[in-house]
Amino acid sequence: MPLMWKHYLNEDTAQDMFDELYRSEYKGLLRSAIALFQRMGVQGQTARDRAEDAVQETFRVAWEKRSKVLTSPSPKGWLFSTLRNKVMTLANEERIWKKHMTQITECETELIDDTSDGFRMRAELSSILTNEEYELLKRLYLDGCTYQEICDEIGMKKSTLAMRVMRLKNRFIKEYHEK
Amino acid sequence: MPEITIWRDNPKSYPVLERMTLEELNCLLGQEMSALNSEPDVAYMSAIIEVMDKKEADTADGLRVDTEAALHEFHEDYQGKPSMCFSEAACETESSHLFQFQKSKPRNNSAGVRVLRNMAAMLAVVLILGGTASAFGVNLFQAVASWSNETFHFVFGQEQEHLDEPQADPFPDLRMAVAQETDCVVVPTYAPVQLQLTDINITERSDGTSILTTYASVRGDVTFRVQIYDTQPLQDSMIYQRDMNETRTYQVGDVEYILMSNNERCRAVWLNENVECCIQGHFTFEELEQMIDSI
Repeated sequence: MPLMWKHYLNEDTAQDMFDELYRSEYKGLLRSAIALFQRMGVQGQTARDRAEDAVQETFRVAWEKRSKVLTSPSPKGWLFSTLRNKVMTLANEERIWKKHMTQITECETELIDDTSDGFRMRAELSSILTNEEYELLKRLYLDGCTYQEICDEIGMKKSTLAMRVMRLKNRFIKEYHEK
Repeated sequence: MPEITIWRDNPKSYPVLERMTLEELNCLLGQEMSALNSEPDVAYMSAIIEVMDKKEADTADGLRVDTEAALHEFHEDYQGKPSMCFSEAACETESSHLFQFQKSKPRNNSAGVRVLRNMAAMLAVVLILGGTASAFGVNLFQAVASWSNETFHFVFGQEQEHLDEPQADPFPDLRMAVAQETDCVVVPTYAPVQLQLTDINITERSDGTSILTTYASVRGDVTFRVQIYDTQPLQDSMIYQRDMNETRTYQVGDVEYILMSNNERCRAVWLNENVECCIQGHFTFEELEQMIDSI
């Protein structure tokens, strides 16, 4: 393995080195993340979209730990290991939310029968989620829409939408468990 | 200031990859990525990616990536900012060694102080009782020592021996999970060491169901993957990475078990009807054969 360069880390140098690492590894990491998502049953554009999130998250953590990553003998190995964990976590989150949304939808179906349990659950849920928020989660996790598709529909920036979804989910989990 | 050294990983040459289709390479890459409890083989994965890039260059529907746009998005939305993708759901609902969300328990200093205070009080009572008994000519401490000697004794190494012993059924959870999907019996009833289930992951795939379990043992981690396909795959379609050591086949009935080693671990791979299995850990080939015999 040839030595490329040796020098000392300062913020400008770290940024340059990091950007170079990003440019050289982004496509390979994206390809690997898509392959892993597909292996876990996520297909098509959804796999691509979730893979992009996982790769960006991996680089976000890499930037946080840049002094360790950039001085590592194999930054690539670190990136692949972290990416694997990120994909697994995202896929797990996807599964959990799909389950949540399925339960909520089933609960709505029960409403037709006007069972008391269904009615009570619906009442609890309506105090946590507005219709708009419920639709947003449903589009993401039941309909399998990508962030980009939803952004295009509602004219919102992807990062803003992602942050909104994350806050919404955290609030839902917190309030649902409290109830 | 720390000294920075950047190394470039040189991809090794794997001629076999050139003969594979893009779809097969993609499956292989996914398989490598999902190989838990082992460091990713970066050289091998780089070689797969390189061949995929080369093959895709000739096709119109290859992976199109705008790296500069992605980097711009990274600078804008991700660099130095909190995570946008992960809610607290995963850590609250599921627990797994893979997921790195761990809430640290606040230390309860007042509890520690209470324990110390209680111990000091007990010691004072014992000393007072001892002193009083001594005044009446009874050696209380000698009596306690004699009783302890008869009642308690130390057994060295028992716990370690216990962990080395085989257990009655090392894979009960996996057995139940497999039984819900198929009648085919593929799970051994014997393992040479005690196994503690650390993770079980069931994934519905387009072509069937994948069950991946991970176990902890005194010899390190053990993984057992069972893939139940909707239709019976060809044995030739199983692709596993191995090192240069010998590969052994072990025939039991109609099923051929392939034993190989990789990354200093031994692995048994087999296909029984529509069920593909792979178990790997720090076992010997003989131990793997014993496990196979117990199926």
